Amino acid sequence: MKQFAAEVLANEPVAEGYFEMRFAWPQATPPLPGQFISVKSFGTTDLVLRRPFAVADYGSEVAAIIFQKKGPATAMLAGLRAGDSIDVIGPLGNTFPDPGERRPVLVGGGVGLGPILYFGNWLADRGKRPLVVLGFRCSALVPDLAARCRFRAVVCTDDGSEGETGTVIDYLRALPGDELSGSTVYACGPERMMAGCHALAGDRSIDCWVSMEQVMGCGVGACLGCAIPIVEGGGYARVCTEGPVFPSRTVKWTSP
Amino acid sequence: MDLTVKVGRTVLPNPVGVASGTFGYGSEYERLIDLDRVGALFTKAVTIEFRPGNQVPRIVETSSGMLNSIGLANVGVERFIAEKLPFLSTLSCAVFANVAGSSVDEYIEVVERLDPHRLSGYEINLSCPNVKEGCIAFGTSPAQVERLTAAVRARTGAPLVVKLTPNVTDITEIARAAEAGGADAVTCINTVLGMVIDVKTKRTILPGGTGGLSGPGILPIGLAATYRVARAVGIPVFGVGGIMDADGAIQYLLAGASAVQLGTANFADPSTCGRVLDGIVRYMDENGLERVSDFGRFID
Repeated sequence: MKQFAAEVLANEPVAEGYFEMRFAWPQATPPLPGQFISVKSFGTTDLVLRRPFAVADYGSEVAAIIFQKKGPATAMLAGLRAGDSIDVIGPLGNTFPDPGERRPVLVGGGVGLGPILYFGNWLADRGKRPLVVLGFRCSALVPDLAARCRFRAVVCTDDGSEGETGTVIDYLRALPGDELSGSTVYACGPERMMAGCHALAGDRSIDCWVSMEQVMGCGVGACLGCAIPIVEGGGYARVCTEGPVFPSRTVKWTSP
Repeated sequence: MDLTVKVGRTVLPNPVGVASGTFGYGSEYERLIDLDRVGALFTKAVTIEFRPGNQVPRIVETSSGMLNSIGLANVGVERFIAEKLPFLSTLSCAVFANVAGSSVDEYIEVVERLDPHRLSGYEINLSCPNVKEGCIAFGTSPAQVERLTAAVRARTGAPLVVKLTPNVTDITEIARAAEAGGADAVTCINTVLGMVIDVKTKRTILPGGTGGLSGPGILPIGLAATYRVARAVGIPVFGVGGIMDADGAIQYLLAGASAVQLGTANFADPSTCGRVLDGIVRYMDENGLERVSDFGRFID
């Protein structure tokens, strides 16, 4: 983990409200799939906190994040151009564990897309053939996956405007019974989606890993602000340090 | 130029400290900054037992600040000694354990357990706004503050710093009570009580309703409190609240603080404390100040 100034190399919209920023990674430790960075480059004391973003790609000393333009901080990030600089701390947090001999099933949705793309490519580069299922509300939110994926992805949209109709959970539930046996599920996206993956994995007796999100203070384990409730130990775990990737069975789910 | 600051028997190498709750137990920042440049490290609060902390979310950003409600989450004094002290004892800066409890006996017990380990001193946390029982009740009554400070004072010769809450009618009364109880210094201020409501859900964002406001928005509040407290007591004052750069720290020193602590700035940019120290040195050089106490000469 280091703090460094990174040059923005490209910053383009990739879907309605979503941007992909590519930036130089001038340090020895590369970010691994599941890890995140914290960014500050807002040029104002009005926004005091850094913002965490999961790494969406890395290669040849260039990293990428995919973010949703949502509030004033991400609006400022969306306004950055090639040649601008961002203040980065990273890589932070743990990684998606290696599936070993088990078949990786990757499930992503919304802003959870980035880390799933990175992990999918990472696995594909190592000769694995992950089943990747990506969920979106509608076609306008689907980025150009062919340009980003070195694997085949199944796209699901809630309104059926692209790919399969329905949620990723609907799709996975409809798969033949033995399709998921011997798999490990990795999920990143809205809590409802991850809770759905957890329930599905429980039904099929397979492992499920989820990448959790929480408002963060320091991002390095000092402030205990980004806690999430867990079912064991002290009752809480820090997303920034014990996570962001957790075994789904340790998370105290609030969604149905 | 002499950058040292004396608090009781402890000598801080420089006046730039890092505030309790914003710097963990030090090791979290080891790989990010040069810890040898920190003047004083105030640990995450230590209580007698492990505390899991409050419900989540625990943080919400505000305009020019943030609200937190961590709830004194900490590993408890035994694990602090076993797991955190070995690293802390390698540091060249002063290390103060921030001590919290829900009764006078609990504060005393934590201090007695820690005392053989020869820390630089203790910061008595009388002012956490985020726990229902305990320290806020101590922190708002001058008589209680004096009683608790005196009780801890009787058990240890190590420097005692009492951390004051701004959420009182007259903070100088509390500061005087801490001094009367035998404190070697006061920290001024802890977070300011605040609340944020999500108008969509019609609920407070923090499950407990209120939290502690910190960040650049509270700098004028901390500064005024420091100015008043420095004139009410004869012991050193750690100025805290909203310092994001050298200018903010220098304002506190000019207001009468003997040293400062950075809090939220550590989250925004961990390198802030090094830059603040550089800025203080440059300012002293440009203004012909020989020692940190010289800052106090300018404002009556």
